[in-house]
Amino acid sequence: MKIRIEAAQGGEIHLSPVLPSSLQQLRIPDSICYGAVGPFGHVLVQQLEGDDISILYHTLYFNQGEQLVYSSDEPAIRLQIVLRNSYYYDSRYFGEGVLHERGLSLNYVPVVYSKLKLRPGEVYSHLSVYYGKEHLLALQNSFPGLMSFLAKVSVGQPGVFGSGYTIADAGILSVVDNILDCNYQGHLRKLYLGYLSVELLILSLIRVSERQSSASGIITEEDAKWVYRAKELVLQDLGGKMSLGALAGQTGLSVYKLNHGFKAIYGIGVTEFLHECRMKKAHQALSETDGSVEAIARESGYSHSESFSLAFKKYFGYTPAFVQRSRRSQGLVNE
Amino acid sequence: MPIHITTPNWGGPCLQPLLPATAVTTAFPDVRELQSSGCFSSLLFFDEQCPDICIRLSNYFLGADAGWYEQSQGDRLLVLQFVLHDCLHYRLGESERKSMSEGQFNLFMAPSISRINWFDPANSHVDTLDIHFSPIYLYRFGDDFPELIRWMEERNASSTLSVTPASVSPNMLRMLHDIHDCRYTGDLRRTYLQSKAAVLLLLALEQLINRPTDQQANIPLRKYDLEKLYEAREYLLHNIENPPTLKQLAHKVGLNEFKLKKGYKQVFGTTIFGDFNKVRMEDAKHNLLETDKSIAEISLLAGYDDPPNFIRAFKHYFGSAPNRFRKQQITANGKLRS
Repeated sequence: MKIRIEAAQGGEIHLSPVLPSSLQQLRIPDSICYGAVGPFGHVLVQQLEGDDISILYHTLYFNQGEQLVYSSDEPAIRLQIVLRNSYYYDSRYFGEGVLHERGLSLNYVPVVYSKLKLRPGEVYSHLSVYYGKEHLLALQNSFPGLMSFLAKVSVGQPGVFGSGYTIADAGILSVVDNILDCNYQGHLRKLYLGYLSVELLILSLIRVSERQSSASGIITEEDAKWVYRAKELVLQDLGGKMSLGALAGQTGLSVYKLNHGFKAIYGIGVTEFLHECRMKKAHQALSETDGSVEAIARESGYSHSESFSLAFKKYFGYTPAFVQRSRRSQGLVNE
Repeated sequence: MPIHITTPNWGGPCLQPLLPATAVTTAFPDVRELQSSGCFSSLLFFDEQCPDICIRLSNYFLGADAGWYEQSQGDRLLVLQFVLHDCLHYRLGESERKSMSEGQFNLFMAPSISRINWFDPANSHVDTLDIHFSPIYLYRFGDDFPELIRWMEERNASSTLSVTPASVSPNMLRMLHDIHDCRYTGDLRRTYLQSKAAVLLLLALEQLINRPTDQQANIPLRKYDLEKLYEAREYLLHNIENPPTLKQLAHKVGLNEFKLKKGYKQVFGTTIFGDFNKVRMEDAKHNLLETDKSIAEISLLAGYDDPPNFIRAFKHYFGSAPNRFRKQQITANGKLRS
């Protein structure tokens, strides 16, 4: 998949396979990278290849407000998942719309062409998986709704699978993490990424087919900005005991609006979101550092490691000690 | 929905035609022919219309009289087996008895199911998740794992892919839970489980093959050490009322703590706490079923100061909370008597 990015003010951004050093640290190992850095900000597109599948992960950052044209001459059956910030787009086929963080869409376009409106000084990132028609054909029996979508694909007519706004759930996000963390090489890598992409497709199809709250995705641009601001505050203070009221106070939204904003974007309320972040952070700390369970419990806002362990077990289905043990045995392998 | 079929009584035949008739058309002729006269339950989890993969969830409950026999026919068996609860003891063909504890897995091959004997009396309550693969399915991985093909070519031997079982990673455990808790039906269920099983197999192969032989994991044991380990086990089982700490136990028999812990697991396939807990839980079960003591009393007898902790441990071990367990067993037995 060859992607072209043009900026309304700066003209076409030339993506170079030789990455500038400032982007090196953002690199996913073994991916094909194209990047550009300039006074405007930076663009990084990373491509992972599976069997008949290609995965694009891009990160955008612009110093000044900008309108980008994101295009490619090839047709695409693609699953898009926004991983950071809200994408306000104007697509040649679907018109204006928005996909917030964790928003998900499966669509077909004869030619990729959409305009993106970017706010200055903010990071945007996005994952899209390009499937072949045969992947969808294989799932046709399991998802009757796919038929009409596939009919459109065969006549080259743009279409979106499902109606309404879909938010990726924890299962989908964990597959996304697995894709970005894949550390296999060679053919095995392609195989693994291929399997994960199919899994991602199945989970997404299930998710899109489920009925979701009608308020999903409905939030003004201004409110969304404050929700992201609140998210940053939550992430910075996972160990603290920040109250909902204090959080609302710092963002200037009312508690009611804040909660509804989180529900619109993430599908869950602030408290649940906080809990999710704490659990994920704790999992990461357990599997990457040598910190004790007690210390990690404290960092996650628990004063008693027992209650932390119970909550952890409830969330992941296994105990913190299991993650530590598995890290140790993994350590033996790497030495 | 997954249903656990367990036997209400601890004897007598159960599950004679073990698997439903719909399973007859599958590519695993071996799997169907199981018959049991002991306490074993197996659940065919998934295999409809799918010639390459079959997923089974098995619960082994064996009493003292493990009268078990199998009939089998067919080509051969290739099964990826994960132990979900307690420790599984097995014997491959004529070889010695081996074990695999909770959270471990291995890929088994045998010319037929009768060559693997999973029905050891020590398996008082073991749960496993078994994924059977057809040879054709596994051959697809030949380019990436030539070792797998080499191993499969040894046609007549019963063996495991890796000499020592590997341990599941958190990621794999999550997938096992996903498979276990799959709430879809029909085509979607098939698609979903197939995709999960494929990823799981890949991760499992990677672990079993590309992991260095776990020499660090096994410590050399001399005859003297072995005697001491048996002594430690004896001592532990005789002093269950007043259990020694690890330190005390090590001191008592004259081994250092490290050797005691590692060696114990190596020889008996379970940890010291595992053994201790097993006795404690079996005692609690006995008290629960044979006496009218309250849960609080039983909890104290089992050495727990706090009943909720006891209830949690019991539930973890037997799968249902003490009160429910008591009711279930009593109604089941009551029905039997009448």
